[in-house]
Amino acid sequence: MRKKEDLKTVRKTVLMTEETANSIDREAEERGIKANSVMNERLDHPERDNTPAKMVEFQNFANEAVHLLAQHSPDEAKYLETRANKLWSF
Amino acid sequence: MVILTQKRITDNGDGKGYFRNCIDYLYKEKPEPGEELVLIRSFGVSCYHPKHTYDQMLAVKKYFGKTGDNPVMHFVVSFDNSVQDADKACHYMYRIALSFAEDYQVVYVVHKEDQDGSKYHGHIIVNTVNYKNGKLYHSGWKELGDLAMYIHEITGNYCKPIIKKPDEK
Repeated sequence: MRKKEDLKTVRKTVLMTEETANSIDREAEERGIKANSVMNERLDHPERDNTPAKMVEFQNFANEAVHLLAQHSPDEAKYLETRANKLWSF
Repeated sequence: MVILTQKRITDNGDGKGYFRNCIDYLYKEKPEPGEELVLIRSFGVSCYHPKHTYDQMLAVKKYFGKTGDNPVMHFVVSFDNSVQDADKACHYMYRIALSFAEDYQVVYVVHKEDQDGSKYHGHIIVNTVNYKNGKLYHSGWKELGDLAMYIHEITGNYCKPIIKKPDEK
């Protein structure tokens, strides 16, 4: 069950340009999700430079780097891992 | 025969509980008497600190507003006695975990433990929230069967799927 505060229960009518509407529909189709989810994501995360998909890709590089570095310098590897973790914010 | 067990979690309460315990368990050097950690690795999430693993999975859940649903999928893969060395067990677990990595954060371990003819088994913890679109992983018999079939393909041994409650032995 979703948490009460996560439930989407408020209905609002929003006017937008055709271009914005098309952009929302296109993204929804590409990602296989509802247009409603796309709109919510854009509203909740207006600065969309950092997305989970990008962070996951970054973390894969970080894991590889930490793994390689740990063989030669465990302390530096630990430092690198901690720094990488600090970048996890949206 | 390989045994694939899915631990089914139906209610996680405040988003911690089983989710956090699962991750802490993966990091234990000696999870149970006679059992030892061989390897811990991950895709899309840190595998070097349990709190970082937990926080990074939770961050994806929060991003998509899905912190209250089933938090993680927990799979246990018990290899039969055809897997006698750690390298082979690690390779199989890598390939199994990789099959989730395209859409989900995943952390996995290999444990060494002599148990009913099995020397190695692995645990896979998958964040149920898809990091690309926020959709929840659908955990049913079909998905488990597909995973068992994949394990059969890569190991060459029949894989039997089982669903258990978290506290069920």
